[in-house]
Amino acid sequence: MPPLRLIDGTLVKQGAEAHVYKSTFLYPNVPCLIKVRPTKPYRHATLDMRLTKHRCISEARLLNRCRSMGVLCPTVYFVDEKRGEIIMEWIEGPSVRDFLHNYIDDASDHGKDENKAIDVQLDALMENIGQTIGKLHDIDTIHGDLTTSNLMLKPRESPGTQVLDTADTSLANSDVVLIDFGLGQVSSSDEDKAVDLYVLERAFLSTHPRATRLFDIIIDSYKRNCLGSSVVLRRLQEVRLRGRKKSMVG
Amino acid sequence: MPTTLSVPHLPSNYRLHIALFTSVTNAAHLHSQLLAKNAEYEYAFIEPSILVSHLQPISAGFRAIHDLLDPDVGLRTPNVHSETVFSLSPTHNITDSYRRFGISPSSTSVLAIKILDTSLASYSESSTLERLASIVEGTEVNFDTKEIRKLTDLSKVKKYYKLKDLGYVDQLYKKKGRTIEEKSEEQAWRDLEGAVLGAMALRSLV
Ligand SMILES: Nc1ncnc2c1ncn2[C@@H]1O[C@H](COP(=O)(O)OP(=O)(O)O)[C@@H](O)[C@H]1O
Ligand SMILES: [Mg+2]
Repeated sequence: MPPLRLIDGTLVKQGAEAHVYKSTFLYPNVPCLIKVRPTKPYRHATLDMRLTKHRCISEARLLNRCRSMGVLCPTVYFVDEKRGEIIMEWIEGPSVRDFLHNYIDDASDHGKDENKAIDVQLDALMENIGQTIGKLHDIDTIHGDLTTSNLMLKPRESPGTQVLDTADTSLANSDVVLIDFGLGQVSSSDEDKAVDLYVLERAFLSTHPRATRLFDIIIDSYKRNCLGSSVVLRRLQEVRLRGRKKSMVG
Repeated sequence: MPTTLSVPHLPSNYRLHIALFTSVTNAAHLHSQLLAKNAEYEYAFIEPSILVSHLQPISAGFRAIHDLLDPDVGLRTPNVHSETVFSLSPTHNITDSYRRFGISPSSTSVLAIKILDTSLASYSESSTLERLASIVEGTEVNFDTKEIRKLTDLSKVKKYYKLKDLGYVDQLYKKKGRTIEEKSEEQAWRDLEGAVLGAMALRSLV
C-alpha cells in the first residue's frame, strides 16, 4: 500500500513552530493551507508528541470556535492531531504586514492628493482591524500572537471583485481575517485581552514608522466596537507601564 | 449524471462514485439491505437533508479513505462506506451517526457513494456507474451544491452539528441595539458550510 502523504504542496513558510504548505483540498481548484508542526529533535520524544498534539488541537478548536461564532478566520478542513497537521481554508491575502510595507514603499511615489485618498482607505482598514479584535474579545477568545503577519486581508466575495495586492485596491471591500491561533486560548480575563492588544501595539510600533497614528485608530475602533472595551483599555494602560518598567530594568 | 472523482492527497486509485436522487421510492428496501449487511448494498447511503454543500460528503469520503489507509487510525465502523456516513458526524456515537446522517426507511431523497480501489482487477467504471444509477429508484439530479441546497433541512443541520452559536457575535451586537449589516444569502450558506466542515473535522477532538 502506498504511504499516505498529506503534505504535498508548495512550501509557503518554514517557521520555528510550523511549516506551512499551499495545496488543494478535495478538488484541484479548492486551494488550502496545510500547517504542520514538525517534531523537534532536541525535545524529549514523548513530551514533544504531547506538545505538538496539544498545540494542534488547541489551534483547530479555536479556529472553529471563531469561524462559527462569527469572527473571520480560516475554516478547518481536516485535522491529524497525532502528526500535528491541520488542513484549512486558503486565505488569499496579502497579510496586513505585506500590505503596509507595500503601501509605505508606494506612498513616496505618489502625489499629495493621492496619498490622502490612500490614507482614508488605510484608516478604514485600521477601523476594521479594531472591530475584528473587538469581536474576538467579545467571544472571550485571546489570540496570543497578534502581529501584522497574523492578520490577513480577504477580498469580500462578490462577483467581479478582484484579488487585492496593492494599496490602491479598495480596502472597503475586504475583510480582515485572523490566522495562527497556536498560542490562543479561551478566556474572559481583561488582563489577557489587554496583553493581546499590547502585543499588537509592540508589533505595530516596531515595524511601521507612521504606526502610532494607525494604532490609535485601531484602539479607537476597538473602544467603540468591543462591548467590554473600557475595562480592557484601562488594563492596557497598566500593561504598558509594566512593559516600560521591564524594558528600563532589562 | 453520476460523478467519479479521486481526491488530492489520497492515492489516485481510490475513487468516489457519487449520485444524488430525489423522489426516491425504495429507501425502505435500501435501509433493510444495509441492516442485513448485504454486500451487494455496500454503499454510503446518505440522507441529503443534512447536507449543505457538495464538499461535505466528499470531505466525509476523504476522511473515511484516509482513516482506512492510515495504519495509526483505521476504521471505527465495518467498512469504508459506513465510515463515510460516520465521518459526517461531529460526535463519536456511531449508532446516532447512522440514524442522523444515513438514510431512513422514509427518506425521499438519497445521496449514494461507492468508494473503490480502481487498481483491482475486478474494477470496471462503467458497471460501477450503471449499478449506482439503478440501485436507488428515483430521479437522478446533478450532484452539486445548487441541488443539495434545495434539499437541506436547516433546523436539522443546526441541531445535529450543534450550531446554536452560529453567528453568535452578530446576535450579541443586535441585542445591544446595533445595526448589523445583513449577510447575503450566499454568505450565510458559506458560513454554514464552514461551520459544518469544521465540526466534522474536529470529531476526533471532542
Ligand atoms: N489560511 C491561510 N491562508 C493563506 N496563508 C496562510 C494561512 N495561514 C497561514 N498562512 C501564511 O503562512 C504563514 C505562517 O503561518 P502561521 O499560521 O502564522 O504559522 P507561524 O506559527 O509559523 O507564524 C502566515 O504568516 C501566512 O503568510
Ligand atoms: Mg504567524
